[in-house]
Amino acid sequence: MKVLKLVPLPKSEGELIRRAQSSDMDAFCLLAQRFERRIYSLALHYCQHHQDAEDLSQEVWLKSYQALHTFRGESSFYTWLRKITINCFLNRQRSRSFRWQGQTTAVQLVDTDSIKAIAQLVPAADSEKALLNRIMVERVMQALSELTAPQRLIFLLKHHEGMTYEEIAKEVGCSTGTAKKSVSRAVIKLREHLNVDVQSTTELPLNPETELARASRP
Amino acid sequence: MHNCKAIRETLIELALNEPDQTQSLPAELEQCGTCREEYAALRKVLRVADQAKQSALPAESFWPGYHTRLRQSLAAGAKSGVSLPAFETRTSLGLLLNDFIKSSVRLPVPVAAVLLLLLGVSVVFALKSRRPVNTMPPVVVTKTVEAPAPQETIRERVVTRVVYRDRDLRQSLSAKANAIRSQRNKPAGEKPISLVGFKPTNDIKLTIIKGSYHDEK
Repeated sequence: MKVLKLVPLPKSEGELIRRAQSSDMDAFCLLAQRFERRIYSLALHYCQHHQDAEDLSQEVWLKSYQALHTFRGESSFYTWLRKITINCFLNRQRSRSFRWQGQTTAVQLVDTDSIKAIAQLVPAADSEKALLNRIMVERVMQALSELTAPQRLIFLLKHHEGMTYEEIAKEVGCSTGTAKKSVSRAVIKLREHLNVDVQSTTELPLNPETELARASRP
Repeated sequence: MHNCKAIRETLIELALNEPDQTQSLPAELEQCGTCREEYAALRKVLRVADQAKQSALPAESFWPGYHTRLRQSLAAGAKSGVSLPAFETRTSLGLLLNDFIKSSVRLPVPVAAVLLLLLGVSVVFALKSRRPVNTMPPVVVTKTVEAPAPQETIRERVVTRVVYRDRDLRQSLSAKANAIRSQRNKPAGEKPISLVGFKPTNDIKLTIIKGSYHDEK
């Protein structure tokens, strides 16, 4: 009788990388699980559509799996992965095969159905918070949708990834001045769209009363 | 003088970098209420963007399906042997060339202006010192011109020299004039004077020299 012996997957990143480099798909999937949320979040803010974000992030994983043998460990795995992500984003932007939401059409995350659904599922206070969160996300997406794709990418790299302007300029292939201008433009757009209540001391920067009244308007 | 618009970029940078509570803000910001408010608003905006990043992520129920799809696409990619993306196949030479093209040097404006001026002056001098080059294409003349054969032009030179020796000029002249007169006065029927026996005088010697100009040289 043949006994299958299950080999436990290693926990350390280095070991996972080594095994993934030797075409171990399970090890690679474990690696992917560690960073999938970050990559997905970047993709979602970049293309502003869940389906596109999934396609784009899957493409990143596929390409990184194919190029894993080129990883020499000179930088951290995430830095290497981020480089691939940026290249994927830029290539997608160039090919224009993207299902863009357009510069004027924003993502509609808040609709009447979702408000009702939230109200039924969760207690009043929580539903209010969840709705405000949705409004917040929608506003942020709206503001980002008014930027060009490279401007959006530069802002995400600066704000979400904490990269320096020099690093961004090198990765994206622009000058540091352009990177600074893009970030500045993105922040100004966000400022315009979010209309934050500076005086509010609530956890959420948005004023709940105003925002809920606005959302429930037909 | 404080200008709220002018320091907006600085405010954005400050808000992005979020200085600690211990770090002091620029004096300008401390003094201007509008800028302080703007700074607070920018910080809040970025905090909202941060919260949105977390809130935008799908629920936990989404991820198992995502892993399954990832595994499927990896398996499909491994089977089909999809070629590596362009950025991975780029050679180091290509990267170097790309870096070289995109590289830039920061120069102060006066230095750049002086360099440009020098370049302009050198170009002007180079243009001036250059030999005039006939840029016109050489014209091929097919017309044959028959050159006239050089002909020797003979210039005749007549030199007359009258040498008076012993005889008086007047006598000879009057004699001649008389002879002509008598000849004219003779009637038509008379016989013309024969020159037989005429003998020129020895006193007058007339020499005619004929020859070319070249001969004379």
